[in-house]
Amino acid sequence: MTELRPADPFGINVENVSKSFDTGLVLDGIDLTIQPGSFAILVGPSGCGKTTLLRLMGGLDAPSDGRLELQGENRHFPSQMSEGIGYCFQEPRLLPWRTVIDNVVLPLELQGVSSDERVSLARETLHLVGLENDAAKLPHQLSGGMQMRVSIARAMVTRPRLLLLDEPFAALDEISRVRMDDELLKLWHETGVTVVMVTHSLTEAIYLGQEVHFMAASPGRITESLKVELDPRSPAIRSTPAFAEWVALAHGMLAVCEGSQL
Amino acid sequence: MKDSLKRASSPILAAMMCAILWEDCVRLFQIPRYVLPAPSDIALILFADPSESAALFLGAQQTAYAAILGFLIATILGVASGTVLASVGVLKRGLYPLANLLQMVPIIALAPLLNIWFGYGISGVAASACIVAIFPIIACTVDGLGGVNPHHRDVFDLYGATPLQRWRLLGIQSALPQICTGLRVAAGLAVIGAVVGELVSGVLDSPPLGAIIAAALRNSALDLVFAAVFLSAAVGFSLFALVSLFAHMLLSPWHPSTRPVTNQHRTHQKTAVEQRAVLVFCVVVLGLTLYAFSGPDLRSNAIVNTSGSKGVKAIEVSQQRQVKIQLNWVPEPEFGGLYEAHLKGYFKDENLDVTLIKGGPGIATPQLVATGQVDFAIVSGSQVVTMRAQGAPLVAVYANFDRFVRGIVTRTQNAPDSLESLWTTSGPLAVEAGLPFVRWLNHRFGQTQRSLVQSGGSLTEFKRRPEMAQAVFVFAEPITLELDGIPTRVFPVSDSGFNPYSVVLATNERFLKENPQTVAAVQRALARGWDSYLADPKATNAELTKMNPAMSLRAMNLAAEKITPYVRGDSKRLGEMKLERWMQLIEQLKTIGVVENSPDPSRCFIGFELK
Repeated sequence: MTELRPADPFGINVENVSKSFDTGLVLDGIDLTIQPGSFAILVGPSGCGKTTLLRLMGGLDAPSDGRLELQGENRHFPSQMSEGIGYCFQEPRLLPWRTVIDNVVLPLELQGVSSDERVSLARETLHLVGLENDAAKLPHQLSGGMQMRVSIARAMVTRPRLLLLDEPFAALDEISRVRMDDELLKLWHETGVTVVMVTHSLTEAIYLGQEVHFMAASPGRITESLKVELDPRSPAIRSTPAFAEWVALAHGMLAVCEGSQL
Repeated sequence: MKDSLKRASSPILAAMMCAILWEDCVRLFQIPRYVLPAPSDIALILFADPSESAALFLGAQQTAYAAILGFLIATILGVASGTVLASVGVLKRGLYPLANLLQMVPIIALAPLLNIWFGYGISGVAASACIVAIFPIIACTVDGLGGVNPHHRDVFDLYGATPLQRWRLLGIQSALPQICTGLRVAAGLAVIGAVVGELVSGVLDSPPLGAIIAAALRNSALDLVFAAVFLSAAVGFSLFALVSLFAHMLLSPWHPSTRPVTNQHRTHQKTAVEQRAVLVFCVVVLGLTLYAFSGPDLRSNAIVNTSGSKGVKAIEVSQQRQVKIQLNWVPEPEFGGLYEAHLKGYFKDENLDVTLIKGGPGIATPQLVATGQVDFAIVSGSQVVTMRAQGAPLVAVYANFDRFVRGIVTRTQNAPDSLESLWTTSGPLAVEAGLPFVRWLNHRFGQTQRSLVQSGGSLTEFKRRPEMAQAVFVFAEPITLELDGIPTRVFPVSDSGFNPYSVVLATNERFLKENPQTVAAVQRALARGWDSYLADPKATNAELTKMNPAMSLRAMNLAAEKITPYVRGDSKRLGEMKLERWMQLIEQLKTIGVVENSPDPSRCFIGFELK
């Protein structure tokens, strides 16, 4: 699957970014650097602005203040950010009237890719998430986990240089979630894409992330960053004592974050 | 398959039960045919009489074409304008409330104008269907497009979709369930709109259902009215079913509303109770039916028999007797004698307290007087015959016009030399649906070369098109045209030998038996009224124009000048009728197939000798 590897994964430079809505300040002076090809995690309590930060990175919203740079170039907001970015929402957000493959094809269709090319790209991507046999099904015929994999396939079909994942597995049961984490890890290995993922689960954060950024609420800010040195990443490490230590460490840091909030 | 049969069987059984109950009630209460026909009468018209049913089914086909055309136009325009309204905020705030007005258009008021705006034939009728059907489509499109899931919108934002892509791939698809609901509502409305349009506009050469209804109402053929109404409901239901099926096919792959609800256990419990209730109901209906059919069908002469009074004394009380007279049109010189008698106090002199009730288009005066809702009503001579042929106890007591008042008008410069040559040359002729004289002229002069279109009572088309001919009251519309500077020539229909009494005052047999003195008093007062009105109509016309501002005093005075020969005719005494004239009318109506059986001509009217 070497052809899935984007030529040049994006890195991200976030400099002093703030965002406020009518309800008040949501993000306050965020500074963050994400290396090209890395797997970064954002964790933190509800309402700390994780999703907002991710939407800013995806170009779905514009920051109130500060700069967001993708690979050195300053993108202006709002602008067409879709080029090179894949985004997975908290819910699958599939169009219920479209079949699985038609849902996966949608981003290519919107970008005007020819129909032959987009079908072959979509089939490859479905293979990547293990749904090549369900292409003709409708979303309501799939389980929650399968729908989420379709959603990831849709985010991946444009061969993005940056993949943004917003708690993609929050609604799944523990067993499905573990399996999805394994698949996501495999996908990252195979494609080399830069991934930024928001999660509530510290186990997931440690298992997937090279860097875990802890956030605190009111207003949202990054309080701590943790470099996770666990190599090689594979399903087997989940049962090692080292993994358990890293998770425990993360719990400690989260407690500090929440403490600082009070 | 078995399931769908089972689901279809309940409404069919329910419909049959309703029809049987209806039949039972009509027979048990001996409701006359000219008030409410029984389902069996309607079925007879629909299936037993080949010529009648062929015309009806052809009419249904025409109505269906117009309704479908109107519906398709409404769909395209509705979705398009709904899209524009939903996507441009200013328009939605400004125009959407106005679009609501479409819903409140009293289409019956506009229908006569549709000919003028959209031409004759299917286009005007389709326009009427479209106007009635379009609002639910607009509303559902606007709501559907406004209700697009913002989560889905994010996906389209992310990939920089163009507005067209958003509309085509997201908006319309999301709105489809709502649009389908709008289309289903619109399907039934389109048929209603088409029938309403046909009531007063469109062509008559091969009449659609609406024109058949208008004609049947004029001739008191209620069984035909109901047969046509039933067919139009069937057309509406078919269109609704077709659209529903189409919507189901569009949505069924994904929309939850199309998935069958499976709750076997509960439905099972319910059916046990339901079945018992249905069984009891069926037994009751069966018993009622056996009872209703055990006796002879007395409906035709129901009222005549009950009114068979044995020596009812004509109690003439000293105080004023209250009398209600229902007119079939708005106050105009055709009622000059009546208003004159009222205003000059001739009714009071006879000790009568008379109320003249204004009429208007579509009023069913023959039924109102036959059933005793009013004591007297103005009807046409032909209506007396068609009603009596159905057993209605209608009696003509005074002919306001001795000579038939209908005629055909053309422009002077295009005028043919006779009624016959008018009838046999080509060109459009605007008439109201169901006038018996049209059939008579076809019988007398041969099938007309003219294309018959509905006038809807409007002269606008006549003014616009020089080749137009129009059926009129000889002393009414030509005056209006003259005042508008259009010189015309009038061909009275009576020249063709068809000369029924016109603007006939009728009562019912029961009233006549119980109040012979009152009837005679009305006759006397009316004769005095007409005598006085013909001598000098100005004072009464001034009152008439107050009650009917649509007709100017000048037009009324001019009309009154032309009225005398038609009021007096050949009769020696104003208002008096002769047996031969009624015999002739019955014979003529039978010849042209307006009535099947002849009523007794001597019972159609009373003379003046009665005291």
